[in-house]
Amino acid sequence: MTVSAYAVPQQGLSTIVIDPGHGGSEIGATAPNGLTEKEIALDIAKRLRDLIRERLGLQVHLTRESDYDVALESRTEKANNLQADLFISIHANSYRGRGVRGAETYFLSDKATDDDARRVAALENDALGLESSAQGDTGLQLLLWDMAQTLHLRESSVLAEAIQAELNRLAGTGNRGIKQAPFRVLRGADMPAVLVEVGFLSNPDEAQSLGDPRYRQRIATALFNSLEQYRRRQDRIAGGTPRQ
Amino acid sequence: MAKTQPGKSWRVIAFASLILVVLLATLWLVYGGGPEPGAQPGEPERPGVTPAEGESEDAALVAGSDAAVDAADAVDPQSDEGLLAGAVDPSGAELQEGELPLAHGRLEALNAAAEQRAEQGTMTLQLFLVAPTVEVLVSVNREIEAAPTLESQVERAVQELIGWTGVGMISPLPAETVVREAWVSPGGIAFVDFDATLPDYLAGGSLEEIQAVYSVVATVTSSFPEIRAVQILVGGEQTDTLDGHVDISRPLLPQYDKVLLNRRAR
Repeated sequence: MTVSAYAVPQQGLSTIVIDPGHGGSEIGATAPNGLTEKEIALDIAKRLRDLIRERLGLQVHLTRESDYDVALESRTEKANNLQADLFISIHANSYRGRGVRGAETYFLSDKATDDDARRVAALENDALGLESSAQGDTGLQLLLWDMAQTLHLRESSVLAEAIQAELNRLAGTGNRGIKQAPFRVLRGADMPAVLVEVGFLSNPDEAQSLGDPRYRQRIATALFNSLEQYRRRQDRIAGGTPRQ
Repeated sequence: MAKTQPGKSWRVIAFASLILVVLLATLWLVYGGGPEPGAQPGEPERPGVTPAEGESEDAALVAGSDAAVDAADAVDPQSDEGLLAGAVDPSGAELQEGELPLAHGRLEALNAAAEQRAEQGTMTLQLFLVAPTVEVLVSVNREIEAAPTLESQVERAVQELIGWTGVGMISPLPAETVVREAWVSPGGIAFVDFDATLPDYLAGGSLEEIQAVYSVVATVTSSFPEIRAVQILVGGEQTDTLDGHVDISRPLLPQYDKVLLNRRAR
């Protein structure tokens, strides 16, 4: 039992970093109608930013403001440097089965699983002859940042559930649930961090919906509502706990 | 009876918990989850999808799929391991440290298992394929001729995954995927090196990328009990992701419950 190992929710949110997936040469998924993941992600991110600023008056930063390349690690780096309270990465999905549709919300995989993989990696280091890139001096740094996100897994899952529930309800998307996966962009975030797949560009209906600004506004509103819920919960928990 | 006895209810709960733990431990022993997760060629130790945290609904989803060739195989007899962990910590936020099989031999032992398979002539692969209707990976047993060495057996397993043309399910890897090379480290990590063009054939969605990555990991680790983890390489190099999402910069363990199965929002 490692409840104590989790970070205590902070009172109030002040800074949120929104990460529009891909950008520049990284197009991401493309719909049959030509719509791209990078433009969808940026558009929804901006709408969400505006909602948060207007209605909650919080600091909001985007990891990219327009269509250019941003390395995966520098996205969370930016959030860490800004000491953001939340990191939300926005993506659109694609699948070979055209019928697949709906939103998904991810948070990072388990600590134990990753720990084991890292231990294995360390054990194997000598035998591989591949140590130059991912190990060495950056190894310790990587490990520390990995632990950073581990501290926030529980809060990340709470946020993910809130987002998924709102997306299912408000946007009327099919329920695909919350999931865990080792997304590179979430690793290293020293704050609750989630990745939202707002829908499938490979599904003709959903691609058409995502092409409609009103639908994208509904998604942004759903995300906003879940953030508001999450914020109220944090305030409640932090308010009920005597400060030490 | 209006009198409340707070102490008593706790005793009842404690007793019930004890019974539960004993029951689960017995199950664990009965199903052979004993202390030696040894390699038994021909009888893969870790078949199928492991539902943890009592996610029987999702397990049933897989097992109940029309496309599932071998429904019994889709449920791991060792899933009690997961249940035990779930019983200890219902939140499931933490897996038990050391729960994964730590027994890993030296290269000679690994090669001995491969030679044994080669002598037998055939071996059974567990391919993790996509069942389009349920969108999760489902394992299918496939008997093939055993290649002479461990490296060639692993390479063949991945090629079987790529080249799957059976009815009802599809390969999670693009048909154009090329395996440059595969090898196994003395610690039991399989390295699977894909051609640098692989990312070009992925459509850019995270679901497809997750399934591509974890089908390789699950297929190799479940087909070869002596292999613990899989390091995917692209064009001979370690890389961050195949296509912008899943971290493949280090060896990956199979994550049956978290990645391959859906967790439903409440």
